[in-house]
Amino acid sequence: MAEKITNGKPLKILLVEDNPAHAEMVMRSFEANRVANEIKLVVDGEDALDYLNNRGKYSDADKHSNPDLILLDLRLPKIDGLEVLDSIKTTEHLALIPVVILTTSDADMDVAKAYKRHANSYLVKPIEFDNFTKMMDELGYYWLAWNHKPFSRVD
Amino acid sequence: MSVNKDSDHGVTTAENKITRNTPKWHLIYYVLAGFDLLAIGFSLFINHQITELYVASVEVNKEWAGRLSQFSRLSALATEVNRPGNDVFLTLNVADESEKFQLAKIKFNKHLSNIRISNNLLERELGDSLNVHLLEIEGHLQKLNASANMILTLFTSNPEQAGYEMARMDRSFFSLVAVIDIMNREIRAIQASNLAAQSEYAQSLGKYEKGIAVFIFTMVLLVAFYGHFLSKNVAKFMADREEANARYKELNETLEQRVASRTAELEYTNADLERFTYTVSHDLKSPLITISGFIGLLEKDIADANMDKIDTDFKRIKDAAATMRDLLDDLLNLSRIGRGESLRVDVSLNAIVSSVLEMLDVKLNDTQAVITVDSDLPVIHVEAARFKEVYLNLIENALKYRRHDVVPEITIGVSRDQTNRNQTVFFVKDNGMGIDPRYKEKIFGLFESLSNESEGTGVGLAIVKRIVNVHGGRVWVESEGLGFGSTFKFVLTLNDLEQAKTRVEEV
Repeated sequence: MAEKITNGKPLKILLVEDNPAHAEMVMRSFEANRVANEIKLVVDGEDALDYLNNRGKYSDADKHSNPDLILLDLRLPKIDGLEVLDSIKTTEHLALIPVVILTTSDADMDVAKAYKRHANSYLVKPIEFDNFTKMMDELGYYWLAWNHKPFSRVD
Repeated sequence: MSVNKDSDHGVTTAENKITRNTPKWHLIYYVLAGFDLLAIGFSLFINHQITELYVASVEVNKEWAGRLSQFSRLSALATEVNRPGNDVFLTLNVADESEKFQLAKIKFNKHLSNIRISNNLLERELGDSLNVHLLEIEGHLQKLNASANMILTLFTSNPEQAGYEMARMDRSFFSLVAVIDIMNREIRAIQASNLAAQSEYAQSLGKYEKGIAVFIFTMVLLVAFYGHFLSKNVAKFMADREEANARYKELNETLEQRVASRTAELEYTNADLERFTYTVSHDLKSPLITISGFIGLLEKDIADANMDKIDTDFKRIKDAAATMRDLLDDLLNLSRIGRGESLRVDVSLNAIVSSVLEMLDVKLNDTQAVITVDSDLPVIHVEAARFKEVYLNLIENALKYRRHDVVPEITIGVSRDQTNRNQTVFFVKDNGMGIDPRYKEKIFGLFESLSNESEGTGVGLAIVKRIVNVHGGRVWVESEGLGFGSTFKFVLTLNDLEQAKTRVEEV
């Protein structure tokens, strides 16, 4: 279904998550629902920005192309999630990539700060496994299938 | 609270002191100036008196001199009256001499009545006594007159009798002159006594004048000295006031500082509470999500008989449960910090460090780390158990982030602050991974860790920071950058302002 909608182009998600267990849960959900073709995991804020800007070990721009969706945790080692978000939304070639905040925090302040920095969506990880799986399924379909992407990729 | 009360009281006292101590110098000065004016006025008055006395004395002398000349003229006129009676014996011209005699008598009587008139202007007693003399003179003149008439009448008829009368006339004349002489002497005596009284008065005035001069001189000296004293006092008063003002200002500033410090403290506590709630809700939820998530996945894997995954699912669940337990322990630990101020004692830092090294014995053996401890660490006034945690966390941290290509070296010691020589800086230095300068602050945050792979919960350095802060100090890290090792440093004595700053920064 997804491939049909995107005209056969592979869809990539950048998952920024420092908790390996949570990362595994997200990745297994996406493996099961088969929405995305590729999920790239980075484990801290610095790593995320290096990837998006093709710096350091991600300098190969072809191999590490920009994702169609960024799933961003807020509390991250080194560079905080909100800072990463701020950096993405103020960098011209990254600003249009949808960023979905995926975090455990439901604090009003975090929600407000995220939207102020132009987060496209804010999701709180559900504790119940069924809800978690459901959220991942719907999230994938919504952002990668139903949602009209801001530009066509040039790779 | 008691400190605030004290300082309030201090301010009030300072204010009262300022008003109460305002000296009454100007009053004293007015009194002195009043005395001066009085003395000068009195001196002018005395001068006036002396001048008047002088003028009066000159007048009186003139008057008495006039009177004396009147008497000498009277005496001369008496001689004129007496002369014709004598001259007739030489000139033998009775008619001529009789005429001269009548003329002289008229002159004499006129002059005498003049004297009487002027005598009546004198004080009554003196005038009366002079008038008595005038009556005597008149008496003698009558006798002289009678004798002269006899001489002139008898001269031709009875020259012998005339000669005899001439002798009588001369006697009367001498008696008359003698009375004038007595009057003269009396007047001179009065004049002399007047002069003596005046001179005595003048002398007494002179004495007063000398007294006044001494008084004025003394007063001027007093005023001069007092002026000097005043100027000194005014300067001192101004200095005192300035000092009081400065103290008042300082007190105000201290109060402001205290208020700022308290406010910061409260804000810090509030922020701390918020952060605590936030991290608890966030970080405790995390392992819960893992546990419930992997139970769900485990069910699926069991259903699918996916044996490879089942093991890792179990491990994830166990790890998450362990993480949760550690988090709860750490949070409990963290919440206890700051409640044991009464437990602070003087304790040797060397003792603290060696007990910590004993606790870490196994880890130190495993890592083959070389630990160097300054043998002369100071005695500090702290909660001993908490400072064991500080050193435990710092040393564990150094071991955790060691470089695997070199032998870990950890140095524990103290140094002097470069700007404030009285400030002791405590340090734990390692040759480990070092810290990117960007993350120097972040590492002290609660549940912050620079690596998602590191062991521990990210509470260690937050605990260190909390303990040092609670003891009124500040902790920071220095590092030349990644690969160059790091030195954790802390100080324990900050003044109120520095503490407030530290806290504001934290917030």
